[in-house]
Amino acid sequence: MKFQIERDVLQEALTQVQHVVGTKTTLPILSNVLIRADEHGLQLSTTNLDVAISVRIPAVVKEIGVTTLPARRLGTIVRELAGTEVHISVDDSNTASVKSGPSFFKIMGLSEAEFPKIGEFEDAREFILNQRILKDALKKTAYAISTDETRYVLNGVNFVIGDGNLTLVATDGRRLAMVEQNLELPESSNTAVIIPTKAVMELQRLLHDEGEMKIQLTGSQAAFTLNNSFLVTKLIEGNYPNYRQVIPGPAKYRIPLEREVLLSAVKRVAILVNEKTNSIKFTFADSQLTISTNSPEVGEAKESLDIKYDGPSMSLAFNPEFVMAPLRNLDQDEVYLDLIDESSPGAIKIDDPFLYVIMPMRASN
Amino acid sequence: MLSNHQFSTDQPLGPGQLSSVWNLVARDLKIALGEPTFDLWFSQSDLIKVDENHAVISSPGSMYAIWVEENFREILKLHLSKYLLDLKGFSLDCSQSAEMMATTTPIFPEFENREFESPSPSRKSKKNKTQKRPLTPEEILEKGREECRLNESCTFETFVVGPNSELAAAAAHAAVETPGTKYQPLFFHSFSGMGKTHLLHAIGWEFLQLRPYAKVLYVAAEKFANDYIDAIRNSKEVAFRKKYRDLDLLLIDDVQFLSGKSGFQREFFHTFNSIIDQKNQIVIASDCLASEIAQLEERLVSRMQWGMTVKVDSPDEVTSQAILRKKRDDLKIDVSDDTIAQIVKRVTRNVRQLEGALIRTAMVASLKKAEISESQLDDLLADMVGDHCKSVGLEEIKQAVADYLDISVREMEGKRRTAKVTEARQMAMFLCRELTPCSLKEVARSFAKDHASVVYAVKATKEKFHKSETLQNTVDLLRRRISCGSPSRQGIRATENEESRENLQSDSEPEFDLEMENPGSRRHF
Repeated sequence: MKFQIERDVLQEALTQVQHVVGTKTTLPILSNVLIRADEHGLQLSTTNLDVAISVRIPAVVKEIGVTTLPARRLGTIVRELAGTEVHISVDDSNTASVKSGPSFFKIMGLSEAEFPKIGEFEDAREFILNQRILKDALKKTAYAISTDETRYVLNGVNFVIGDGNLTLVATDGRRLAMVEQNLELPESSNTAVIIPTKAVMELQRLLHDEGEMKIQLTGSQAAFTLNNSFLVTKLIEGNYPNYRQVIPGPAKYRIPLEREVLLSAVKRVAILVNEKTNSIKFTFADSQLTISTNSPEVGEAKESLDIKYDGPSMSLAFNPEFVMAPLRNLDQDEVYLDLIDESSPGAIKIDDPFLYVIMPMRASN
Repeated sequence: MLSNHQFSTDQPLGPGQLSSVWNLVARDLKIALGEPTFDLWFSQSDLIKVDENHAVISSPGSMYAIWVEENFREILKLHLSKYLLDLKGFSLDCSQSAEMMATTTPIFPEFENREFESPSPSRKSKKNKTQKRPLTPEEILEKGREECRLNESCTFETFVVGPNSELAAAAAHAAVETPGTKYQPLFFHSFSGMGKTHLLHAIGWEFLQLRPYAKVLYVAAEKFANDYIDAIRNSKEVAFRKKYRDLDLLLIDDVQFLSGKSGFQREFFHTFNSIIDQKNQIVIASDCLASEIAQLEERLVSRMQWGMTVKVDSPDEVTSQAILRKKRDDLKIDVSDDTIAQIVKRVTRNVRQLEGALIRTAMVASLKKAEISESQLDDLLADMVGDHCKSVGLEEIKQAVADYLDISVREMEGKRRTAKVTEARQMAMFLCRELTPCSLKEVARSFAKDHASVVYAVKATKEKFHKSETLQNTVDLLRRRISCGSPSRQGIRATENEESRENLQSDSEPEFDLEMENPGSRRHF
């Protein structure tokens, strides 16, 4: 196998596939990137057995062939190379010679026969989706994914197609983020799957703001074809709990807030948050919101914002990180804080079908 | 010894015991959490089993169970273990509950009956990009007018391209076709009334036709500055930045207004960078070159010079006539081609004045109900004919040249004949002849020379023109400054809403380091 490629193109492609390669893998082949050179150029693939990514890039292929090379090592070499062109040739024993300008490297690879096969998607169900829709929806929900591995069904984003809508939900039991997008999909495409965190993160990296993508679903796997990349992931088995159970009823008070103003205020107050309680207090009264934290060991911080609120004086404590996460990931200028009373979950909404439910924390007793 | 209400947990409890324990726990929880919270999370729960130091509580749904466990684990355990001795743990069981999946209440009631495409207008463009529904021409028109502040009468269709504006129009089209690449930024400059603003609007409209969902904004530099002040006053900097920095196409007019306003320049600099970084397009119009705008930060000057700078010249006679005919047809007024030709002969080649003259002529003609004769036209347009010649005096020209070349008027009028003074003197004489109706004698007298010197000066300057483009540019610049009537060191014309008074007081040193002996080494504009 022999090919010649632009350094930057190769580097970018390696970065795209490299995230899947773990630093500690049980199987040596999993730290390698599969390189397939054919008449169309190169195809680079990596997998960790749960997620596989494959990227197509243009290259001048002089001799077709397949091999696997250590992904991180190759990535580091390519990143450091001075030349703009890289010449790589691989012999029958999977030893690669990398030449670029004045540099020469010889790296040992493994046979492609050991590389896990990526699943088949022949009779999968297919959807075509605009990349931007998915990118936006993932951004607005992914941060709420649970990291608690004992509740594995929550370690991903629930991806539901029903009633013509695409609904994405993520929750960790203390907050819940969901986005609904009207796609006018036919009844026959109704489905519900759970896409694991790792795949969500990789997808976010691969998604662009424009262009379409293809999603293929089988019972246990999902494949995403977009731009020049292909991502396959195992789905989390099991049923996602019914998120509707924790969505609070209609709000009694809707408080419009400027997103960035609120975010920066919370950020400042959170500097002095007590690590043990990890909560900051929101007090609503007389057209004013006071965000404060106060603990004998650390100190005191207070921020006041003018708001539109004419309800009774009300105090709720929230984990500041849980308040900031959605604010960071929304792009609207204005958000609404919907409240019922001091003990019911609050909700952050915007002018689009987005919902973030957040549990108030109880005052420690 | 166990009290009445305490139970050992290594043996299964009977149903009666279970419910009495739960009643006690529920009572305690109500006190600890408050009634509303308890009702929300525990009202449908029960203690259903206790065995092997483990309690099982029923829950109406799996998501309930998760949230209860996440949020109330500690407090629940605390109260359970008060009554259940040696309790090691508990779990929530939702197997007995029917998972009420199909709730009828919609989660987003507010979006139920609403056209999905049209949330708030500010979000419209972004959202719709993904929806790809082509906008109708009316929608584009409305968006252009309302959101992008474009003037609907200024399009490429209404722009008359002549030899004077060929390059500018071509560059404008190119900027629309491949925004953010070729001409970044695109910089138009010309005297007032040559069609820069028209071109900016036209670019905006064409851009919208091709990309209906793009974010386009036409703004005069003054409006930019006012918006910025408002933003600071109302602490809405974020909104301000969002508005300007996320644009796909920024059309900014009259940038000379930024002269001497360092705060706005800084903000504009960042706006500029941010738009360029995102590979979006900026089109700038100014009535002089970026380098001629007084007190404009060097980094802004260099950025404005970065892309394509195009001059819009004054239209020649043929183009002027074409412009007026077009205007006549647009306004549906009754003026003959002959009259138009006569107007063009009389009025200087400033499109705004031409149009003014046309409207005036049409007005009078319609009042008199007769064609206007040539002599009537002379009277009618008297105040427009060559007006800027009249307003300029010899002294002004001398002052402007002297200031620009950093010598004194007295030196110019004096007898010294160093290269620098001589060149200044010749240039001033040349301009006097060109811009004023004064005779050779009058000019000569004001320089204390005879008329032959003036003839020679004019000839010499003209000859030098052929050799040196820099000299041409310098004279062009001076001519513009003088005829625009602004003080010589200010490369700016007074804009309509004239807030630039403050600039006029500025008395900084000339920024031009000129060596007259060697025109070639002069700063190149």
